[in-house]
Amino acid sequence: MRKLALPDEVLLKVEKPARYIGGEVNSIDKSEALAAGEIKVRYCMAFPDVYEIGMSHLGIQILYHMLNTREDIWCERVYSPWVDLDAVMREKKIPLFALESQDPVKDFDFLGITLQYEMCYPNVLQLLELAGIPLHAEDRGENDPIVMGGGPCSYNPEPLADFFDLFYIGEGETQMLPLMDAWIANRETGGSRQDFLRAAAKLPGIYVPSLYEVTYQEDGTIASFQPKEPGIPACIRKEIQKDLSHTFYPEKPVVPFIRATQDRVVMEIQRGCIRGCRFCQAGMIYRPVRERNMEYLLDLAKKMLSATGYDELSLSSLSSSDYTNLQPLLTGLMEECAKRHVNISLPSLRIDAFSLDVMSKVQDIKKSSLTFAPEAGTQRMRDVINKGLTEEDILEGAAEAFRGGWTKVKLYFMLGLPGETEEDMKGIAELSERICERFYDEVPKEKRNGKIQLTASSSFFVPKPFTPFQWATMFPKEEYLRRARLVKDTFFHQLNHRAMHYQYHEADVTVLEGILARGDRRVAPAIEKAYRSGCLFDAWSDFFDNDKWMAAFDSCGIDPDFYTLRERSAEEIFPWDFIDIGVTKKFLRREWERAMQGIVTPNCKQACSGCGAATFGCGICTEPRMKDSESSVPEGEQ
Amino acid sequence: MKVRIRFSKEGNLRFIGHLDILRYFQKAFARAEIPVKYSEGFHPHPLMSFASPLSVGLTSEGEYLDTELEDSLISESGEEILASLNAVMADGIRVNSIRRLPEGQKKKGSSAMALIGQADYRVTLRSTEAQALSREIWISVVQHFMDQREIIVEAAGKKQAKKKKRDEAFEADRINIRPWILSLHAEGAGVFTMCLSAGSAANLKPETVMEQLIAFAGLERFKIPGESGERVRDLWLAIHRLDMRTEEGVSLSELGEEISI
Ligand code: SF4
Ligand code: SF4
Repeated sequence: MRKLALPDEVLLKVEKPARYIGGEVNSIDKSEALAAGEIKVRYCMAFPDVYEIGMSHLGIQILYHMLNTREDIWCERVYSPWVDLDAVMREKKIPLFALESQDPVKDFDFLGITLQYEMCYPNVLQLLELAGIPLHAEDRGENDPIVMGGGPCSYNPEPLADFFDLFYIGEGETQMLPLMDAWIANRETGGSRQDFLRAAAKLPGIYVPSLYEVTYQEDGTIASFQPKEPGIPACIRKEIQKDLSHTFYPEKPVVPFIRATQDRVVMEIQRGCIRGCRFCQAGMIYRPVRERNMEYLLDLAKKMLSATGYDELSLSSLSSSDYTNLQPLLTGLMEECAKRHVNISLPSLRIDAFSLDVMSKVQDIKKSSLTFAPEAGTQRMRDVINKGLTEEDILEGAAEAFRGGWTKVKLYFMLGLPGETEEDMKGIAELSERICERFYDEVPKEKRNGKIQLTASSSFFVPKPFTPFQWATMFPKEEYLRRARLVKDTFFHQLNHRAMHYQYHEADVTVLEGILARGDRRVAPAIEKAYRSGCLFDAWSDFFDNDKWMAAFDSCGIDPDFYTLRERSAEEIFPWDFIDIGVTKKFLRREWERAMQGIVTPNCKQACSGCGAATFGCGICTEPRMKDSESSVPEGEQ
Repeated sequence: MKVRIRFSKEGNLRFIGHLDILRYFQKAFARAEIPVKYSEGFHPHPLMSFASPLSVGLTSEGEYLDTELEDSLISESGEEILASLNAVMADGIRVNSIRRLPEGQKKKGSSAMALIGQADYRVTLRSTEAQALSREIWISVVQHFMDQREIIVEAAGKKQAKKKKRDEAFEADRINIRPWILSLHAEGAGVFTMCLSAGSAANLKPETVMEQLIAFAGLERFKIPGESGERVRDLWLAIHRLDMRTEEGVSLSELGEEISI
């Protein structure tokens, strides 16, 4: 029996003890190799949120199993202890432990923390503190693990720069193993922690914040960002796995005992997105779109289903409908899944005749709802954000669905977009109304399968680094709420308002997310202060405490408005500018300007707009497309 | 083919609740590529049920799962089915017997859950002081305890009474559990085995028996008090279920017939 770090009285006291015991099917136990002295690197992979969320994350599964393919590396996992256990661990001084070996995380060589959303930043500090690792990288000694970060938030790592020894910028498949090798080599030659960090900083994709210096102008913007020593690169290019059909993928993902948020096999069919919506960070940082080969996927699905026994398979991608061979892929998968009593779920599908046909086969029409993400209420605004979805597309898709028997519709919008007018806000309710009307036009009374139920929800837009909207100014909290109320009011005045339900997200969180997303190194003390004053699990609305955050900014002398309400000039140096994602700042700026003029930019399948990602020489950039109007040579490069 | 599988759930798996174990078995059958029959309807679910849920924190070597397998499996022996299931099990859970149940007659009362009348347990007092007392002392305590004609439980009955009608409440408040203790033995220092009434008619928990035994012997100090608000209050005991039996005392593993080709 594997030992457990927590005694019975603790495990039986906390909610869901299964979060902390490890031993899940397909988890990897190398304790024998460890005892035999065969393990050279002990890596602990962390997700700074509760187990059920973290276990649903594909990236961790990929890296966990990839690192474990190496006999001399044992990669284990840890998730944020939930608040109940957090209190017990502090009281009884139980150090944070990894699930597999149940050994203290402090004894590991690496603690790798994935950064998926800004609101988990205090949980990063929780992990460090519970582990007994100094919060600040500069205070760590030779025996502390190397603390590294990765994931989408590391595309602006600066607010967390003080807390990390290094960041991995980009996709993990390429440089993780070379990084481990560099660590082994450094230890074998008797090198110090600092020696390793210097060596790591020279590897592609690795950013060691302590080796860089930032200076500021009088107005608070960045004057310069430079390496402190020669030989350290001034610019860090993101890592990218060029060929996604010949790379590592976990064929035997770990299966939790308790129900995770994603209680299913997750199969990534492609990475990146062709669309280039101007608010969307994922659409830019994962460029260019790269598809996985269909035969590869069909084979992978079988293997993963057999190895896990899941009864559901979910295809993961930013925009599944754009996958070239979607139709034959789905036909093949449906055949395989029917044999096994496995359901298929297809998020991020555009609603059209084909997808409705597929959905009618895999879902219960009466129970399932259709999801549209028009993001904006008027065509003008959809052009501003470059959402290539017309009102006609939406209404036709809805009509088709209503004829097919669907009655539940969900719509997702954003509020607070740059240049938004009252008309755009009201447009949210008006578009929803037209969808309802379409239902009554389309479906004769006797054929109606119940009434239409429409739910529209809006979130407030947060400008993110590496998007055309990175120059956008945000609004004060009151203004967001005013806009939401105006939308609500407009809903109330629609003919079909009884059939429609409108909800909006919190405005406090929006402002905070805005500060953290485009923050710089000076924000770090406030994150620490907020954590010290009790902020934790801020992604959970029950726990989010805006007052504590605002007090933290105040006591650290940080003006939140500097990060949210200030106009940013075209010339401003952003904290994240030292990262090269392939897509150029010049392209992003051009997109910002086109947005302001309401000009749509074609998607990568229609035409190449020369965003810069072609520099990677892979994916869509190297494929022939409908019309090659512009050269695919990235701007800004000779 | 309707089958009944006996399995053990030990070690760290004691922290997994029974609904999760049900989900676990659905996946385990799929991994072992043993096709289970599904219910009809738009959301078919595998036909599977447990004899009796085991609380979190308890271990067992006598759990039962009834399920229905696709007839294509007729070509495999029970041994082979067990082997392929055990090949995909997590550490702490093993299947150790499989029997074919009589086909056809859908008569009520043939499911494992309906059949249960008794359950065997092994209970260990965790207190080191309790374990230091000799077996002889415990044997004599148990003997005197069992010689009582009535063992009245008050608090435990109250909860049940709430669910019942008001006029029955007074009666239900005081329950004589002595008839439900079918056997009780001191096996060693602080270790006991017992056979208790189980199932829908009368269900006696081993912790209730131990509370009474400790109180009877005036040894309440062995009951390390749990903190208030703790979900599981019986940490002073380690409870292990040994088996489940019918009202007549026949182990559920002995019903049905062996599967051979
Ligand atoms: S479709 Fe638009 S919003 Fe969706 S991932 Fe692609 S770029 Fe982002
Ligand atoms: S270089 Fe062209 S094809 Fe490649 S991602 Fe950019 S716009 Fe799309």
